[in-house]
Amino acid sequence: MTLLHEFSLGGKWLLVLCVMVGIIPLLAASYQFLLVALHSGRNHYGKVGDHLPRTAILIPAWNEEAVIGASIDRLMLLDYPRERLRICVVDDASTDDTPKVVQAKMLEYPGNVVHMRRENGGQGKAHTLNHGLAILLEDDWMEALLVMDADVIYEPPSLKKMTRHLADPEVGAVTAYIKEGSRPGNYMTRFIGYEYITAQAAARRSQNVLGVLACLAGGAQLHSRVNIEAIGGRIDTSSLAEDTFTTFKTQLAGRRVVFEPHAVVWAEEPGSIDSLWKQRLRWARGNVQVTKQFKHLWFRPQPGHRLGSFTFGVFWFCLFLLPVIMILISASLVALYFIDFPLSWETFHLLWIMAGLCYVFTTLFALLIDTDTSRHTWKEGVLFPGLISITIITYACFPRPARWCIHNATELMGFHLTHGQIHLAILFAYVWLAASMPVAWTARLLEPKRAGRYLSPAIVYIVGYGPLLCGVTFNSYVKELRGAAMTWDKTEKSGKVAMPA
Amino acid sequence: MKEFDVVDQTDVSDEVAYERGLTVKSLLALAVVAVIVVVRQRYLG
Repeated sequence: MTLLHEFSLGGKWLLVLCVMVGIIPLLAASYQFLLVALHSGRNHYGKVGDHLPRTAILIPAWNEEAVIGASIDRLMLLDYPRERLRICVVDDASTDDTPKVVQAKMLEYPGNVVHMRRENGGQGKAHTLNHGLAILLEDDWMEALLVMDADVIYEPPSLKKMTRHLADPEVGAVTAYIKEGSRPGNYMTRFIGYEYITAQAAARRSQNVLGVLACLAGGAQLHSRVNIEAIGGRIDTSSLAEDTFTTFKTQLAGRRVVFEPHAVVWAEEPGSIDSLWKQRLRWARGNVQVTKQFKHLWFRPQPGHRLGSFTFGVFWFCLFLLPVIMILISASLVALYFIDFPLSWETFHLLWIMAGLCYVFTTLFALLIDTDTSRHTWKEGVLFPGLISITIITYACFPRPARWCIHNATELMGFHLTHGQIHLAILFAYVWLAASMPVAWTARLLEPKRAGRYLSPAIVYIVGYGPLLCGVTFNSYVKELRGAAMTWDKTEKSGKVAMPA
Repeated sequence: MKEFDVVDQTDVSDEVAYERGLTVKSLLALAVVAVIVVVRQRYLG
């Protein structure tokens, strides 16, 4: 009997511990934002210098006739000496008029534009980049390499702001701040716009402070020639996250990677759940592959780089394992509900109060980090975790006013909640973290249907954009476990990206 | 198109000023959290 009692007591506290694991990603997110505050003192600006290397701009292009011409025109407007710029379009066996457009631009900007044709294409971005890289490394002209996407827009000062960091020989690569620039945008592009404040403007500043960067943005990565040669002169083709592989390899070779938040690049991002899901599934599967490939690095500090630091490992795995943590929390809360309801209720409150405090701090600070973007994305920022989670946070943080509201609202509607109904609502709240992911997935299923036009956006606002991304990450585990084929689903672009006036 | 100044690569005063502004903004966000905690503990908990 005593043994059984002790076992039950131990089991209960184990379940509480499982719920409290959920506090780790909350604290990690808050710590990441606190590090942003230190960026004013711990940045790379003290080591920048006048540096205008001969820069080859490598653009992988497959059927980009709608955007490539305008992209080249805009690149020629960069605040950078023209004689030190060479735009190299690697045409990945395009079947449209991309070659004709690029050849016309070669005549318009002689010596500045190069057309590199790849006859057997369709193998993905990394292969396309490697085709161009092999040609560029044949001679000594290139001193720096800028890898970008065909449709992104660089603000004129951005390249100069990036190259100044390469004046420090310890820096191997520099990345810029990618902003969502679809005009007109929609609810999805606004969510992405806000997400990029948190994932780039905030997270990458904090990584600058830590001295380790997780990923160079695919559309804005500047490398010194020395760095490209040191990592083997080619981009990894074995994974779907070639950007992250390059970033890791640069740091493993002993060079720093710097995020320049004041070099701004505008990009068109997915405008629907389906295209977002495909894009993020590719990224998330890439991250699974990176996690496996570099398994010897995690939490093992080594001289020469900070990829093995404890903090970086915690940041990486909090994102990587978030869906698992959400399922663990829900399962533990439900089990506790049946074993010891008061304890489950206390634990639930503690978790969601922490979530509330972290949510207020990170959301408010994120909105203040980039006020230009926040002006049109603040609603999506506030609703990032979803209306249901915000309701739960409000109830957990302010139970008395929340109970008063529920009591009066039900009275106004002429009914009283029964004991059973209240407990059903509690169970719903316990299960919600895990359930939010499949519910977010239904938004994707409904999207192509007639009702989905209105219903899918409504579901995203109710369920949250965060849980939607967690659903994608969960999907990536499943795909990797099944060994699904690595298909390169190119994000559909309409060419509607613009730099705001 | 938006007007941009020609970049002087070694003049980072604007960037450093912006980053200092972020430090102040982080304190502001923390202050809001502190106010919420106090209000909750005193009046609404």
